[in-house]
Amino acid sequence: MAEEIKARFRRKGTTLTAKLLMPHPMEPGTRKETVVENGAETERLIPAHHIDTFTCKVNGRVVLEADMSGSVSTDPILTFYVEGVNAGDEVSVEWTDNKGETMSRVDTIK
Amino acid sequence: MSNLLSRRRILKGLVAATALMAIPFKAFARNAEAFKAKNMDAALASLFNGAQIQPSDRIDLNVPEIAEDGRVVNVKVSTDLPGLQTVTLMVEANPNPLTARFRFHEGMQPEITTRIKMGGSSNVHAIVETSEGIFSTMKEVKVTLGGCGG
Repeated sequence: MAEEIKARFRRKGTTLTAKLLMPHPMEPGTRKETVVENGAETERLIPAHHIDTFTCKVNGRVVLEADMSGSVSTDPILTFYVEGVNAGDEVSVEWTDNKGETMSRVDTIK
Repeated sequence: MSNLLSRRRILKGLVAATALMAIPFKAFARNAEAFKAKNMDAALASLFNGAQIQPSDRIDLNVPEIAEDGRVVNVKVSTDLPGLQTVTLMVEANPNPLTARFRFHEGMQPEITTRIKMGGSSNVHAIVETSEGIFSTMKEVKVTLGGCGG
């Protein structure tokens, strides 16, 4: 099971600053590893395992979507700003990876 | 007559519903083919269908001149071009140049920050799609230690 998304939301007036860190290996599928098979060392590709899509919603309305490859750094961070956010608004973030795993969190803005 | 009308109405409704479902799907789905492309031209062709891309100095692509660790290169893109729709990041020399694509909806400020991997020194491109057209800028990043090798 993947680790939870870490998020810091700060509202100033109606501008929301969102800083996210999403723990994920972000394996591109192009790296090789050496494994010992039947006593012999062989090289093989490490299978791709990365976040495919990310969505951020405010009160259920999509504000930001991202499509990612394995060349976004391990444990992706995203920083962005959303206008028109008030105290009590609900911000949800969610990712889906290429293995179909998902992770999400919902925060109520202060 | 009333039969005919209702059938027409149902047909119209169906056509409209199909169109509504088809447009967002086509426009917003992750483009797997573009992510698999081995060079920038192929990735750009897949994403933008050969549409003209104009260089613009109104995109601020903030990357380091020298990155000591190619596994973690900070990237910030912002623009004052109106009607921002998408920001696409490409690393020219990576095995698969298309790195990430962001879609901006109502309420988003035109700025995004993330971290990317670079296999070695390369041009980094930011392609910005607005309601007026497609614009791009690029910067060279020298990488001391690559982030994509074996």
